[in-house]
Amino acid sequence: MRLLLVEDYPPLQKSVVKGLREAGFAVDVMGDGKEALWYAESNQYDVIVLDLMLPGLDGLSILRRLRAGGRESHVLIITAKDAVADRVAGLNVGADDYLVKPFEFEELLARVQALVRRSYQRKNPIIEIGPLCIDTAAQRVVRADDDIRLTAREYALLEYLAMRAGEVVSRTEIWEHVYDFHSDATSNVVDVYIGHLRRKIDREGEPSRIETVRGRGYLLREESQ
Amino acid sequence: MKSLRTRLLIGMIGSFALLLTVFGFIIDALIEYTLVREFDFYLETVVRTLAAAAEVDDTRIEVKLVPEALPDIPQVEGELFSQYWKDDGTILTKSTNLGDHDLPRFSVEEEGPQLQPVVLWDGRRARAAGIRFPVHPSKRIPAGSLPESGRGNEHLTVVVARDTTDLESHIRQVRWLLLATGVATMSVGAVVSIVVIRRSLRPLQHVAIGIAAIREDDLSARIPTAAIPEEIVPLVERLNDLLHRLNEAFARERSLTADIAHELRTPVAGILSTAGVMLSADRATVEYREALEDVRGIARQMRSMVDNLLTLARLDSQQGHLQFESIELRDVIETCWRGCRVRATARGLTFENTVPDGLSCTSDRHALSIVFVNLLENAVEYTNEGGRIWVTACKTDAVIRVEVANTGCELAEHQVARVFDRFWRADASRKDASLHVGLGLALVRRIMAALGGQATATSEDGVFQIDLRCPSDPVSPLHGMANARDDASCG
Repeated sequence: MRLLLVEDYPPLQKSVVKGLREAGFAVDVMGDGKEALWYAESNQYDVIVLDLMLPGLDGLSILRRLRAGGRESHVLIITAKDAVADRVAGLNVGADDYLVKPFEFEELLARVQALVRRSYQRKNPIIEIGPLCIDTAAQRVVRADDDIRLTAREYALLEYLAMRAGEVVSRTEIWEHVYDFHSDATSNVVDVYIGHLRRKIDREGEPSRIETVRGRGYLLREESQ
Repeated sequence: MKSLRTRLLIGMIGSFALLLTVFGFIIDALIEYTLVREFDFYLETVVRTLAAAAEVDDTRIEVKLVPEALPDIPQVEGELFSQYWKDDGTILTKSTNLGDHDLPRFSVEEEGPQLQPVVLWDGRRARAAGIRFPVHPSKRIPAGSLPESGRGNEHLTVVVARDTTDLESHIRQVRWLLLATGVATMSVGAVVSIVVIRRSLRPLQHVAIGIAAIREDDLSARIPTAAIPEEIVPLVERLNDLLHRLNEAFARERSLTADIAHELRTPVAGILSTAGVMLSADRATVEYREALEDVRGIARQMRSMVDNLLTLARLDSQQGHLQFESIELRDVIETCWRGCRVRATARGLTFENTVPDGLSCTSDRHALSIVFVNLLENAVEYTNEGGRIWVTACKTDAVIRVEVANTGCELAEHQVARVFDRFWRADASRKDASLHVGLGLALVRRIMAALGGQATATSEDGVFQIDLRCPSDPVSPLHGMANARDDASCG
């Protein structure tokens, strides 16, 4: 899942990015309000984590402009302002959630994951695809009681496909939602990772769960075989 | 101390009573004097008439004793007695109502009648008038006239006494009447005083109620001055002023606490988040080391903020003990710069210290160091990449002027005015995106004031400059500093 973190305090920025990347998120980071707005407007982020007090342009103005421009990304506000009026103002401008500093990273992660589920109209953090069971909260994939060990990037790819199971997903979409500007990825890399993933989740002698739809992309089949 | 009402009441009633008493005594004395005088005048008239009524026919003296025969003498109550004596003491005659008794005979000079109080044989009190007069044979003697020398120049004495019981009871009545009138007036006066005082003091009660209604958690209330007498209005206005100032001070205190809490939240979030992420999985030693470095960095920032806050608090509560000594400025600035050098080099900044050697001011070394550390750290933080920081100083009159300037300032005029506010920071200048708590300059200004100096800020053509003025010698007048030449510059 692709995420934009807008936070101007370097130590917080650094640790949150690290934690989110480890949790399989593709994270872009901005410390300046104006640049953050530009990023948010030019990319399809699943979730934007937004600080309010920023140099350049404050968080509420960014949010207002995004919503006015029709951007539907889910926005989680993180701020030191804890007054009810501040929270209400944030939510009324179009935020989806509000987290007051200081927070535990676990909570931030859980809230971000909840927003991701909401983006894909899912309530259950556990997605079952045939024999595969993907726990998006714990980032674990189990097939018939066997843990499947995936790298963060592989997991991110599988989670994205699973969220959109039954739909054909283009390479570009995958690229946009699984890779951040930090990774030097081209869309070719998607094919490579699909190959890695197939090897790990498919059983030998069975057709792959991830179908290649020629000229359009990939499809993760939902129905059991 | 007694209540104002009691004091007023005692004062008013007391002085009223005193006045009434004095007035009563004067009236009483006047009335008594008038009555006694009238009484005496009558006695005098009677005694003169009696003297005039004495006739001597050879050896026989004939007196007409009846006062009833004197129609133009007013009839006053009280029994009248009279008695004649010769000079040798023999009683010539007396009024019949004396019976066997005598009137007291007192020595009387020849000039006119003499008056004095006497006591009658039966203990009754009376006043008496006596006259000694010469008698000429077969001739009526005019009363009071001096006897001419002549044959048989014989003198008689006549005394007329009159019972004063009636007069005294009359005077007593007048006295009682006066007393009764006085007491009645007093009572009415007291009641009126009480009512008037209570009414006059009622606004004070209203004010008291107004003050009592003000709660310590809401000092925005004011005591209304509309229905209050003008004497109390200044008092109430001062009270309202005081409330206003208190309210502002409390508001500042509240916002300061909120600011501190707010400013502490972000670094705490940094520590929590760093620790949380590190603990979420097993990691290599290098990662732990890096995270610990980060946490230490955050803690150092927090320490500097806490130090600054404590210094401010101590200065505010006047606990800081300053030790004034002569301080070489160039050295202090060099020492303070050492702490900023690493970061300045990383940002490609150049630093020039052109403070002349030997220029010193009188100040507290520790406090002055905090000032320069804060100013230089601030400059390092906000100067543009590759920019310039410079410090100059010069002496004008009894004032040492130090200028700390840096390039890359984007502050507007209205923002420059606020740089000394606690926790204020110009958002646009936070390009660097590091935590920089807006306390440094507030501390600088506060310390400079404590050191007897001043700190002012200007921003011109992208150059931000802080001007410090410190006294050059310990006895220099610190208050006159504002009048020091403002246009003077160290160039």
